[in-house]
Amino acid sequence: MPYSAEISRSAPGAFLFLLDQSASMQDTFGGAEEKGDAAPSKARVLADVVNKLLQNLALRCAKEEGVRDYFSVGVVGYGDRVQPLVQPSSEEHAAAGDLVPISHLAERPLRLEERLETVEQNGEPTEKRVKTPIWFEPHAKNGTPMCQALDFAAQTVRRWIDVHPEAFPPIVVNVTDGEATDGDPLRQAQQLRSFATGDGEVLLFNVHLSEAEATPVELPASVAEVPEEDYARQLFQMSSRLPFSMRQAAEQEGYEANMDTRGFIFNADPGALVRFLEIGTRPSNLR
Amino acid sequence: MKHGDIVAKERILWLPKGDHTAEEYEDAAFVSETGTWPLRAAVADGATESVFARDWANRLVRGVAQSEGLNADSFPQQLRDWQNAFLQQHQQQQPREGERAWYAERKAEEGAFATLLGLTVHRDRSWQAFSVGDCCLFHLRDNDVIAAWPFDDAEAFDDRPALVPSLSERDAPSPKTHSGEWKLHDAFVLTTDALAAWLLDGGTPADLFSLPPDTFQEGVEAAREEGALRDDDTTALTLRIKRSR
Repeated sequence: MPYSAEISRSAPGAFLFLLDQSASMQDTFGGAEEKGDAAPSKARVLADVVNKLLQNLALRCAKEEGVRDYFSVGVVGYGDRVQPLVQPSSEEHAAAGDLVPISHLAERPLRLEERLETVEQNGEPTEKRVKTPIWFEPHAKNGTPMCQALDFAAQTVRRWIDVHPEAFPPIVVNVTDGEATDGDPLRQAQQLRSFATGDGEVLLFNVHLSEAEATPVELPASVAEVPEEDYARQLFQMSSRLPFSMRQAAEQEGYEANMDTRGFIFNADPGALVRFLEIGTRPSNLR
Repeated sequence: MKHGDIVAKERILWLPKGDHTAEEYEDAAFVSETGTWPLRAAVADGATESVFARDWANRLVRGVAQSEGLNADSFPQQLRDWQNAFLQQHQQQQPREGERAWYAERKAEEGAFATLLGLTVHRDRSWQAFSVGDCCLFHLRDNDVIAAWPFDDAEAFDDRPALVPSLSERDAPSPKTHSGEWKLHDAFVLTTDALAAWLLDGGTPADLFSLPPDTFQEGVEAAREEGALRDDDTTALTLRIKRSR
């Protein structure tokens, strides 16, 4: 069955995040609780979302002796130009396909921020200071070269697949406010999704951060569920259908998923998109 | 082990996940060696995505094998004792808060988790089992499986089983319980989830009683290679009740 390769250190799960850093990301995020001037910018939300995703990936691999490299991760920003935002820390990993072992990221955040978080202690919610790693700051400048970014992603995943031909195929997560300024990204998305390991084709998931205050949408199965505004429907079309193993994981988390369910999120927490790749028994409270 | 004229013969077969070392193996199995009835056995499977899962799994199986009168009612109190002992042991071993990496601090706050299956076999021919999660018990008579519990379907397994937490502030699931009667020459197999799913999908648990450990390892590796057995820590604890010679 496709998309069933076990994730291991010799055949890690690969995530490549594409981050829209164009000028329009300075605009406010419509999905925030705060409205109007109090709402955070889309760039701020994107930085928070991706920092949290990376933190969760690292925590899932953290064991008593350190962080095990069950995942390889790449982060590419696109705005004034298309550029990798995390670099392999050695030639050895550059040769392995430009993605960075998750342990390297875990050990080298840009900074650690102390944040107050509500944790449960003895059944009571309690506020506690926790160290929170930050890898990216908000950034918004120039156009949205999404087509170039998807091309860049295609080259990166091709190199990774050459080294890991039988592994679970790479998952590319594109976080954007939707408007490409360098062409129609649908063709590049199709090309990116056509690359494959022996276990299946590359998965492209899209996270749309919009100014629109429309109802958030998670994992829709039909275009009719997606708001008509902005470029949401195009991003839906670009998104891969969830493979069987991920649909099962989605259902366990309470999502409705069928054969047409796509990896597309509109103005909602995209954490599910990376949670669905299993590396082993997971306590249900660790998300 | 000798109990008058009836003995229980046990063995433990295990193999870590494919690219893991023996030190990274996070299942555990243990049989009481009290020499008196009842006989107690347990297997546990430490959750991959938690720290110190191996130590917690070992603490649990030893706890079960050494507990008097363990049942679903007494489980919460027994668990608190095991949690306290585990916490004390790890507080002594760990660097202080503030000296740990950010991820180590977070994971320590989450604690360890494991599935657990315990079996108590009484001299009066009764047996009781309890389970949290997806370890599986097979009861064999004349080499045929007459009961598989708590699952009898290979499709029932997923990556989110109920788990026993090492921290007392986490909610502990209530154990499921089961009971039955044994006859002379009956056998029991306690397994962790990957092997259980394989056995329920056409495997023959009776083979586990005669396989040399090397052959078990080769069989597991071949089944993993074919994709028939999920690549996970693999453990079987077998018990056969027989008359001593």
